[in-house]
Amino acid sequence: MKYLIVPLVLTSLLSSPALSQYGIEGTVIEGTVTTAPDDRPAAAATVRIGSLGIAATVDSAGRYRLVVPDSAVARDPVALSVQLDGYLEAVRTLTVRPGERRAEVFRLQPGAAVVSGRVTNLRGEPEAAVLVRIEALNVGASTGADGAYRLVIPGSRIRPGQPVQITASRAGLAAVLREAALSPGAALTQDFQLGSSVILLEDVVVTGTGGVQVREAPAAAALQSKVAGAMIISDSGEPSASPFIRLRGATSLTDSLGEPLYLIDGMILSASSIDVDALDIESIEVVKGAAAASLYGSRASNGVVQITTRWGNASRYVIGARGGALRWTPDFPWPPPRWTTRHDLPANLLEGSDRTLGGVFGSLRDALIRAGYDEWAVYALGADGFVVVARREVIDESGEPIPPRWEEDDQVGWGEYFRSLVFATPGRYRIVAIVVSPRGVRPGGGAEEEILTQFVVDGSRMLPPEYAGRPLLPGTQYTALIYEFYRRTEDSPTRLVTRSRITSVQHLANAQLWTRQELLRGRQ
Amino acid sequence: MTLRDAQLRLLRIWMLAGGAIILLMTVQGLAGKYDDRWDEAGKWLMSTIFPNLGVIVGAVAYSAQRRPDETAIDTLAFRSAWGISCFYLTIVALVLLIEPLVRTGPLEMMSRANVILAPLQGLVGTALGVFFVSRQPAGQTPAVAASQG
Repeated sequence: MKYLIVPLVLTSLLSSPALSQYGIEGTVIEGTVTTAPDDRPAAAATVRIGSLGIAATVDSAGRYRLVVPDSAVARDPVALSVQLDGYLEAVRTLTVRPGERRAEVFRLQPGAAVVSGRVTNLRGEPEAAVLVRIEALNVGASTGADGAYRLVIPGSRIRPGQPVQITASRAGLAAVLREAALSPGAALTQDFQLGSSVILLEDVVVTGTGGVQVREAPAAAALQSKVAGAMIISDSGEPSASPFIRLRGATSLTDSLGEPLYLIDGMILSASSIDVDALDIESIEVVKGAAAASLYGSRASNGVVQITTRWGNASRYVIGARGGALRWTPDFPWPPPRWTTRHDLPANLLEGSDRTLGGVFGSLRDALIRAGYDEWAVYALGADGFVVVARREVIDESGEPIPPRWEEDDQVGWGEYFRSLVFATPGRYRIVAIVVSPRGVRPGGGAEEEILTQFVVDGSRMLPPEYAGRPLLPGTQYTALIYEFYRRTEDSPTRLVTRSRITSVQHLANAQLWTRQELLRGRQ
Repeated sequence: MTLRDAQLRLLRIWMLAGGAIILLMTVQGLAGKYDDRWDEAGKWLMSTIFPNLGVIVGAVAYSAQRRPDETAIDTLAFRSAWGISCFYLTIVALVLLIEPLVRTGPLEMMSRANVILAPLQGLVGTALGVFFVSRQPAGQTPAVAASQG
């Protein structure tokens, strides 16, 4: 008997998980590889396990198959990587077990496009501080002392072969514009040679409504002798000391400085917090007297200096307030991630009587609070728009929120327990983003549920007051982008639903933001 | 306790608990709990239950073909094998029963549980092996062995 038992025990030990991994059976890893954002097969991509020296090529249908020989299987996890030119490498750590058959699906994200080069003058000497930018993509960089520049554009923001215009400009040099085609993952070299440009300073025209044409006027010092009644005063002998400006002399017995009100791209800032690179300034407007007071109130009794930057439409100068401290509101990716469905909201649903961005935000905030949302995030979209991302909610197949709505229910009753014990528990989620902007909305790269959920954490809670006071531009549109995500089982990845049975109106109505009638016809 | 009685007790616990686990996972698989990764769940089930179940069934089947062995057994070895078997089967069952409460995903739970189940299964196999080859010291009757155990 004991002679029979020993082999049986050995067999059980050898087939146990502890020992079965040591080369008893082979392993097959197979799956599909597609590319974002259009989910096309990633033909010719290479799938490899570098540490084992095993690789395979993805076929035209996007399929691959890796066979790991028995002798190569080891205890330690291995890295399964997928590479394709123009796309970011995807790496996944696996524990390979003998005899296992695994399915690993990959979706490659487009790599960043890089534009680099050198800017020189007509003598071939490098030119520093030249601004090289791509206006359409809202990216730019300045050249260094060697005249070199480098622009990095995320792959999700461009489509293959997208035509762009690259501009190089600086005060004293004639701007040069070049046309180029960009693709995700592409590396483009574009050199510029700039000639001199004669600077003509026009008279500074002070107006209460219009802008000032001040060409190439660097910072406060440039206003010296340019604006009638403007005194540029420095209270320190240090060359680098910041000067302050006094318009038309002292205006107060108590305010000895008599500093005017400073605005940068519409934001009111104290002089000490202004830190704008002179080369970033597009124009400076000086408003004095009754015109200033009528526009900005008593704070402008000493006049107003309004600075518009070259990035005036870029969100990096939009300030959000959280926790009492000023901080920059992060950018919202533009174009926005591809959505499940969208709905153009009627203008009268959100616009207030004051027709300002703040009025629209107030209407949105009221709708969110009425619908039960307690978390949202505000992102700047240039100087004339913003995006509000609402919290992720758990929904059912018809788009109705499932209690407790914001997270999976931790309280499990007996019926729910036995149901979950036997059947898979699919998950469906919704994230709503409201875009307020005069620019059209078109889809960008693929949407990841974790990234969109993080948007609610990273953004600001409120629209800054100075930003909120901006008037709505003609053509401002209100677009609700609905992101619906679905996972089949608890082990499945959560994916964006591209074709939903739930319409945009149903989504927004089920989210209780507005009624169906309001969504279709606006406020009556 | 005789060897035959001990074998039957071990067989009973493994058949009942192991059978229930197999039945539950079969129902889950048919109900789509594992979706298209049913083979992964099946492999986990094979490697956790069937090796030791095979040892016991084989031993009992072998004994059934021979004259009943009334030899007294080493009770310590039997209790060790029985206790470790119960503990192991409880852990395996908990992996399936706890999953709806933590909502981690059944395959993820199985993968995590292997950290404990792998060494534990080796221990179970060793305990069973020690039990099956153990015997009471010569000259002892079952009654004496029982009173000492």
